[in-house]
Amino acid sequence: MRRRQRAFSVVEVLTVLVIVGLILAAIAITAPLFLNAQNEVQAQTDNINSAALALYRVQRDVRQSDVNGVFNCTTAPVVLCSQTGGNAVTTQALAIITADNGTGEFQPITTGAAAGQPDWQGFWYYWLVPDPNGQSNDLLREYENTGPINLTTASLPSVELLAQTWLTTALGGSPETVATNVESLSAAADTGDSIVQLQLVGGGTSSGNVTSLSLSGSSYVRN
Amino acid sequence: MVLILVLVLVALLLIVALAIVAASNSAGQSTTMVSEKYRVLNSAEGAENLALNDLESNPTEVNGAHFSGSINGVNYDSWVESNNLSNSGTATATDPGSGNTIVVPNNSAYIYGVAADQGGHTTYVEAIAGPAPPLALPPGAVNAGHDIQDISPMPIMQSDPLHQNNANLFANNNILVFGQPSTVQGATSAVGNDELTGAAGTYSNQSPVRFPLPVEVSLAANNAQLIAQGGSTYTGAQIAQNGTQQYNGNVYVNGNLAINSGTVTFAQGTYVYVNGNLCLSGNGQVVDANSSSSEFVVSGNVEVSGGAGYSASPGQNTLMLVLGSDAAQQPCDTNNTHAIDLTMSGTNPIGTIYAANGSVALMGGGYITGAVDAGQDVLLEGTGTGMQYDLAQADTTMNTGTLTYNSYFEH
Repeated sequence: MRRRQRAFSVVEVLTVLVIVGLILAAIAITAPLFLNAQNEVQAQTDNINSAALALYRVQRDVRQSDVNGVFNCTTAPVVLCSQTGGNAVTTQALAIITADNGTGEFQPITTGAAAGQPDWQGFWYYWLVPDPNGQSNDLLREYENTGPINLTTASLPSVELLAQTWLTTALGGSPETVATNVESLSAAADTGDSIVQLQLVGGGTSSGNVTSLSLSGSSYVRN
Repeated sequence: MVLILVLVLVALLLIVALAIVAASNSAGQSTTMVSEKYRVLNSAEGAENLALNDLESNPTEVNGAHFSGSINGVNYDSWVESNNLSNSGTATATDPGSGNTIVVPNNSAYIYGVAADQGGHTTYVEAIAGPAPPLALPPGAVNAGHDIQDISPMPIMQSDPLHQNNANLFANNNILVFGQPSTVQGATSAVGNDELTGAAGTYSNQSPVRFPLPVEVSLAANNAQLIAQGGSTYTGAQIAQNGTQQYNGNVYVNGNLAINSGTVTFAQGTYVYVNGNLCLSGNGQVVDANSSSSEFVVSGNVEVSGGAGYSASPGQNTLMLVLGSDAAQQPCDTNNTHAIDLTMSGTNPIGTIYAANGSVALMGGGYITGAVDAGQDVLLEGTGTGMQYDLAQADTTMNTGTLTYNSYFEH
């Protein structure tokens, strides 16, 4: 005679359901925290990545420049460029003299006593503008060809004036966006040691998470 | 039913785990990308430096010389694409990054380093390199890295009537007067206290003048030694034994050069290197008749005493670089203590004498023209007609034989 199998009692089923419910509730509560933690990490990484790439770009232009042709500039209320030494100070814009003719081709002087030296062609400009949300800034970059600049014979004020004149043109140009979520840009040019100090403070909101970071570095100006 | 619930639970946990792993991987990849750029750049820069070092050690390196290797796991290639260092005309080369033609100026070279990561990102670091500019010594009649000690009245005179009061003195510490002061037809200046009155002014608390750094002096001395060794080599004893004789071209003297009679002349060259001390006594004479920016390097100490003399070509940028330092007893004469002890007799143009690591003592009753520089003290102890500044010595330089980047660019 086959013995009849005993069924679960209502109490047993309810107990199991309560336990399973508690486990699911725990997962429901903790999983978003885990996932959100990764979003925060990703947001921070995005900002670090963006700022690091931007700093890399600025440093690359600085390395190919001349320390006597790197200026901190203001864009508002007036456009003004000046050589800034000492420790890096916050700036609205940065002008970096370049021997690039705008096509990525470096131009050296080919004749005379200065043969082999860079034939300065213009400036790379970096400046900050508020982003559309008004929460942070975008870092923009634009090239302006000023025509040949002789840093050996030109006076510092005349080169500063040239930099600020063409910065006005750059501000009305079609710059590329180098980085978003930039809070501030700082720079200083040590003409004695040919070192340019740069600092980029990035931050903002990414994936709903607010982050802030500061990247800095010293670049040896090779020319 | 319980089994089904357990399976559902396990599935949920797996989904959560996969999401976490995927997010972590994405973050990691983003971070790696920037550091990879720097690694590639550093590798390419290292490759370019390798090409520069190769050219420094072998200035006649062939075009297309190529080296390869790896820095921090990133492979690089280093190229001396066009070596135009020895040529007076321009050359051309092809820019590997853009394919465009590069004009390589005379007396320069076009080199580059290239590196790439596994994802294909390639960085070219290119440069036009040329000889580093020579080291300049501070202008003026007398410059001391420490004190100028005015011990006995010794007139320091201007170069000529057209350049009034240009015999300037500068001490990076103090100018001290120990008795009757010397007459100076120029300005006297000191970083500390200046006790000596100059006809063009007396200035204390000034900024120091710059002397070449020890490493720069070492480079210049090594360069002089290498070039001198490429010429004729003699021992000091051979030259002393030969007596009066002229040695043409670059000359390397191995051992102390002690001359107490006769006149030893070096001419028609640029570099003389004495690997030892230079001791001139009796009526021994050494004449550096090499012209233009010639260099006479002594690795030890220099002493000129009695009726002996050292002279250089007048009106030239002639340099005597002495590497020895001050000591309680100097090898030529144990009574002397300075890197250079110059007892003057007669009238001699000396060019610029520079004791890079020690002091210079000017003594005796002679009359010299030129300039004197010392890393330590300069002692004015002359009792005769003194010293006249040679304006041509304001342009005295030393070649290091190194190369430098005239222009640097990246792709």
